[in-house]
This record gives sequence, C-alpha cells and structure tokens, in this order.
Amino acid sequence: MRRRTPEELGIAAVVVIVALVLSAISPTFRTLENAQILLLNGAVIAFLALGQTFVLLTGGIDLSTGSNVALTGMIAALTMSVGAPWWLAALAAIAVGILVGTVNGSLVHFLKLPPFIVTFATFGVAASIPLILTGASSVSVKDPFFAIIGRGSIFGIPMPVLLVAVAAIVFTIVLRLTPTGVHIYAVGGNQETSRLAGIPIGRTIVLVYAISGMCAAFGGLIVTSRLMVGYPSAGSGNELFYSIAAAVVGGVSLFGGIGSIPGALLGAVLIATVSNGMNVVGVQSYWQPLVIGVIILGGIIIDTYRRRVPLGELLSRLVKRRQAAPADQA
Amino acid sequence: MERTATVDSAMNSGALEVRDIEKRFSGVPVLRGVSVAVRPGEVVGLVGHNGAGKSTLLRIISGAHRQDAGQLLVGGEEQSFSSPADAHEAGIATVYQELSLLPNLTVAQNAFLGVELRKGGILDRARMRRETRELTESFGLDVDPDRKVRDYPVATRQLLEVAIATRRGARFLLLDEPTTSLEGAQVERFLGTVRELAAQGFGIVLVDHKLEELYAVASRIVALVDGRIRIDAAVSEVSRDDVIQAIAGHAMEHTPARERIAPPASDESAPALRAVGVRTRALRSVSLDARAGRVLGLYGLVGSGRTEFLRTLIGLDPVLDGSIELGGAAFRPRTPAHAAAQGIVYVTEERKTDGIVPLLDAGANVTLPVVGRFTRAGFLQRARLRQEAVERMDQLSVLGDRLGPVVRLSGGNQQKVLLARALAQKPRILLLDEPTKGVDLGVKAQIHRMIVSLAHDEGLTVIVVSSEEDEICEIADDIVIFAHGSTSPDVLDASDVTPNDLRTLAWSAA
Repeated sequence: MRRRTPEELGIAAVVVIVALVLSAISPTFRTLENAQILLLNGAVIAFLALGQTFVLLTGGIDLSTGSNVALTGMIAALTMSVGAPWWLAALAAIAVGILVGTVNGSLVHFLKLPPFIVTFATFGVAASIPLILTGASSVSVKDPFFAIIGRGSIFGIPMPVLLVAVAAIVFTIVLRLTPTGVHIYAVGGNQETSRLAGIPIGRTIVLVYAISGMCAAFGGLIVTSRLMVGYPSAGSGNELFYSIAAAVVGGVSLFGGIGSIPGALLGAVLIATVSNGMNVVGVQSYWQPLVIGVIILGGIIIDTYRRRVPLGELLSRLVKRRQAAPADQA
Repeated sequence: MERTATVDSAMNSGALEVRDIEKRFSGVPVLRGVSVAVRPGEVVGLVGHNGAGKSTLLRIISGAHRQDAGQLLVGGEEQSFSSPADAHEAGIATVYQELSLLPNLTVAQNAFLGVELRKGGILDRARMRRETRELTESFGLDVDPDRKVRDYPVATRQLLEVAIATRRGARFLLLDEPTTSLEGAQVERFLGTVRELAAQGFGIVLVDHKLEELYAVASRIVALVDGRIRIDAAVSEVSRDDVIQAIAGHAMEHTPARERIAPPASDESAPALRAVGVRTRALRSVSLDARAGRVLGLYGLVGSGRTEFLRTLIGLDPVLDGSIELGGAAFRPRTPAHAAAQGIVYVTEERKTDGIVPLLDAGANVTLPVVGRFTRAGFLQRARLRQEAVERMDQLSVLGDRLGPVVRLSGGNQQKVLLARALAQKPRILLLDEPTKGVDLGVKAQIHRMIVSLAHDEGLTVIVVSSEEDEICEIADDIVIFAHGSTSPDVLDASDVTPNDLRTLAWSAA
C-alpha cells in the first residue's frame, strides 16, 4: 500500500525499448558477448555517473571527473613503474582521486565559489598534471595482477561491471539508509533549511565531491588496467559529457535534491546501449555525440517540467535569498 | 495526545521575554523600546498596522535579526542569538508564511532532519515512520510519513510544520500570519490546534490581521503601534474597538498640508481604466475606476490583494472572471509587454528582485525596455539612447554616479531610475507599487511631488499601492480600500480622509 511506482520506471522502460529495437535490427547486438562488451565499455561512464549523482543531488556539478580519470590512471601506472605493488598503486590512485574531490568541495563550500567554475578549473589542472609528469608519453604497466581490475571476470561477468555493481549497492545504502544520505538530499533541497536543522553542510558538500573524485579514480584504474598502459590523455574524450548525460536522463535533477543511484545507473546503461548499438548497427561514430546530446536535451526537458513549477520555485528561492539580506521593516 | 515530557519542561522553564528592544534600519527607528512576554500555556495575539514592527520583532526573537538595544530572556536567562539556529536551540520555533519544510524529502525525513534516529549506524526508518505517524495523527493530519512533502497542499504543510516544530523541542512557537493561505474549515482546525498546543504548555505568539481569529484563541492581545506597545491586556479586558482605535488612533496627529494643484474635476466620461468584478487566483472581486489626470490610491493590509491587482493588470495573473476596460474598450491582459503596448506600465515593489538590473549603469536601466526604438539597420544608436536616458534621469533628478552599476546608487535614486524607465515607455496608465519603499525622507517627498505632477500636469492615470497611510493621503486624489481580495464599494475622496480613517477602515474590513 505504501509502494508507489518508482520514478526509475520510466528510464527502465526506455532502456528496454531501445534494447529491443536494437535486437530486432541487429543479430550481433543480441549476443551475450555483445552484452558483455556493452557493459564493460559502459563501466567507466557508470562510475563517473554514480559520483556525479552525489554532486548533482546537492545542487552542484563536477566537471573535473573526466580529467581526473587520466590523472588517477596515470598515478597508478607511475606508482607501479617505480616498483610499487599493484594494490599500493590502486590505493594511491584512489587517494589522489579523493584529494581532487576534497579540493573541489572545499573551494565550493568554504570559499563559496560556483561549482561550475571550480570544477572547470580543476578539470584543467587535473588534465595537465599527467602530461607534465610524463612529458606527454604513455607509461606501460608490467604487474599482471593489476590487469585483473580491468580484464578479469567472475562467472563471466567482467570485473569492472562487478565493481560498478558493488559501488552502486553501497551508494544506494548510503543514500537511502544513512543520515548522511538524507542530508545530501536536504542540502540540495534548501541549504538554509538544512542549516537550521543542524545539518553539517560543509561536511556534506566536501563528502559528495570526494565521492565523485573516488569514482573517477575507479574509472582511471579500469582504463589503465584494461589497456595496461597509463595514457596521459585518457578520459579526455566524451566520458564527462556522457556521465552527466547518464545521471540527467536517469532522473537526477540539475537543480539538486532529486534523483537516485538506480536511476543514474539505468541512465548509464542507456547511454552505453545507444553507443554500442550505433557501433553494432554500423552508424558512423561521429553521430554518437549528436544522438546523446539529443538524449540529454530530452532528459533536461523532462527534469524541468516534471515538477509543477520548477522554474518558478527556483526563482522564488532566489527571491527569498535576496529578500533576507536587505533590512525589511514591514 | 501524550507529550508529557515536553509539557513538563515547558511548564518549568518560565517565560520568553523581551525588554526594551530597540531596532533601527538605516537610521529609521522601527522598534522604540518594546517589552513583552509570553508565558508557557499562553497565546499572545500580536497586532499592528503595516510597518508597525511586528515582523522585525519576530525576526529578533527568532534570531534572524539582532536588536540594537534591549534584552531577550528565556526562563529569566539572557540570550544572545546570532542565528536562527541559536533561537532553535533555546526552544523557539518560527513558522513563517513561506514554508520551510523541504519539499523533496518525505514527511518522516523532514520530521527527523538533522536528528535522525539510527540503529547500528543506519537509519531506523521503521521507528521514525512510526513516531512521525503518531505525531501527525495527534495533530489530526492524515499524511503518509513516506510521501514527499511537495505532494501535500499548503494547508497541510503549514500544520505539518507546526507539528514538526513541537517535536524538535520547541517550547515557544512564533506563528507569522499562519492563516493567510488557509480557508474556512482549515482555519478552524488550525486555531483548534493552536488552542490545544497552548493547553499542553507551549507559549505561542500569533501574528494575525484578523481580529476575530485572534479573539477566538488568544489569551492576551498585544498591539504594536509605530514601534511601541500600545495595548498589552487580557482579551477580556480589551474590546475589538479598543484595538482598532489603538492601531488607528495614533496614526499621525498631523495631516500633511496638501499644497498642490487641484486635480481636474472627475469628469463623467469613460474612466481610463475600469475593473468590474475581477477575479483571479488571488482576488475575489475587484471593481474600481481610475481616471486620467488623477492619482488613485489603493490601500489595504498586506495580503489584501493590492499588489496582486496591479500584477493582474499587466498579465502576470490570469483573469478568471469579470472584465477590464481601457478607455471604454475591453482589455484582456496577456503579458507585461502587451500591457506596455497598451500604455500600461508597472513599477515593482521589489526593486532588487524584479526591478533594476544591478550591474548595468543607470542609463542602461532606464532605456532597457525601449532600446528597440533606438536602432538603425539593427545597430544601436548609442548617442540618441544616451540622450534619452539623460533626459529621463534629469526629469526625475537622478543623482549619483550614473555611469557605474546602478546598484551602487542609493535606494531613492534606484527608485527614480525605475520611474524614469517607466516614463521612457511613455505610459498612459502608470502602476506604482510601494513607490517609496526603503527610500529616505527627502527623496520620498520628491517622488511624491513627481507622482502628483505626472497625473495633474501631464494627464497620466496613476494607480499607487502603498502600505503607508500618510503616503496615500498625501498623493492620492481617490482611494479604494482592499480587503481579502475585494474592493470597498465606495471610492473615498482623499481630501476628506485622514490616515486614522484609513487604518480604521482597513482593520474593520479585515
């Protein structure tokens, strides 16, 4: 009786329909092997989308994740190239990812800078560091154990897909079952109210960017491990674009406060399916960003109009914030 | 209802009290030594005219403003609130007209926000759900703890907010016009809840314009007039007439001298603007005539529908019923641009939010709506544009740095810039909403003279909304009173009306 239709149902239906259509068109698409490739290729985007979801829920945005993939992937490769074991390299990459996120979150919260600009700047910084460190050359990885992260599989399920699944489950638990999760939604809903309710806003904001940075590090590990080479320009392609697209079409609001991990995950699957399907069907790859751009627009239109007057609400919030400042003598 | 623990602590903790509170805003005194107390179990009805200082007093008690002088005590202990969170801590919860629950969270999440119950590190959702249900049921609310707050109507949210405040250790509730968004039975239920909460030991301050509601629940009536307490007595000791008298009676012994050109006699030809039985989402039935060459003043309490009527005229609120005529021809407002094309121009009350473009210079702000008139082959004719801006600003004597961001000008000069912008659009009907809000006295008199001259000398139809009785009496030729979204049947001749009369009329109608 308390059960209501989950908001993720719509995007799930879209994924199913797209998959059915592609299966009907292409016999290659409906093979198990292709499903594996599809999910494997979608894993990095999915990780970035999961992290992005946390940031979007607080009303922010993280543009640095794409280049953070290159940075953390290169950190892992470099750590191993000086003789460190694979697990230490993985930890170093994750630590650097979290550090980038923490810097983002701290600048956003403590200096009150707009998230868009802060993460745009760290996007540039994080993109340059691996190029500077290596003189723009790639660094190959020798440790065979490191390959497990990107190339291993359990019961036929590729390791990156398993990692995404585990992360998604943990994140869902955090968002739904812990006070921290409620606080993240609250901060995205209205910071003033949250402050009044005694929510640690600074901690919450730094945490979401740190999680996003950590997710980028997992993306970096997967990329480097699959290729067994650290490329300084990894993740500088469409990854960031696709990850935001995944979260938004998955129902995560750009205005903050609304969305879920399963939704973002389905969004990532949709993007991966469309991208894979176009390859399989033989559409030239130049078309992919166009199609995904259109999908983002569709997602944002739905995001903006699903609530009765979201823009009006947004405006009135701004009005209130400004009215609080001047001395009102009424 | 069982909240015995809360009741006991409320009973033992003594009163919430303010002593000799003073507060000025940019030099203008708003509170001039206010002392008042609320004891647990008591409902204090706070009344006062527009601008008497009620909201300022509430804001000081709730930690949103700081007093310039005076003390704030809870249970005899002096408090110093530097934020609303401090006031919260001291057991003071405020429910403002704009609701502060988070619409994107569930009822239970809102109820326990920041004080979530947990079991072994994770949320104890079952218990929070159960306690939320108990809480809402004790307030007679039929809500599902797991549904989002945005799914419920405003009336429910309002009660929900009060309910949640009581749960979070509040002992004193400040309710700022809580019934404005409620209707009939909802008001009854809300007042019932207030009465019951008082019986349980909560100390309650209820700000309300409707005396009948106050008399239904309050144990004490406090009237704030021009920043001072005029009445502080048990309901049994003061009649409603006493209250109205107190609020109105003080309104300025002196009626300002009205030296000005006599307005043209109101001719019997068609009015420039006529509204008949206009109904919108916010208005019940508004009928009035505005004539060319005259200033029509609209007076009423905050929320009576004055501003809403002006906004309806420029198409911001759709007309559901009734008719509007311009010079005898039917007029259906669509958008502000459409209204402006008909010669109707509106100057907003909220200068900072929908008036000025803060970082553009004064001239650009003035010519903003008319830049299209100053182009040749698609390019701006900057010299002509600048000349137009300068002329308009000279006409209104805008002082200060006209080339810097307009936001650096004083409030009064910003207001003149907005008026200049309105005039640049060559209006026939000028709608002014609180034209001197936050403007210092010197500029205020200047703006008053300009408004009168625009009507009397230049033949414009001017409609002015103001909460200041003196202002209305000084500049208006005719006055219409608004109450509950409707207009008074009679048009008052401003020359026989004193500011006292206006307050009396508005409060009797409320």
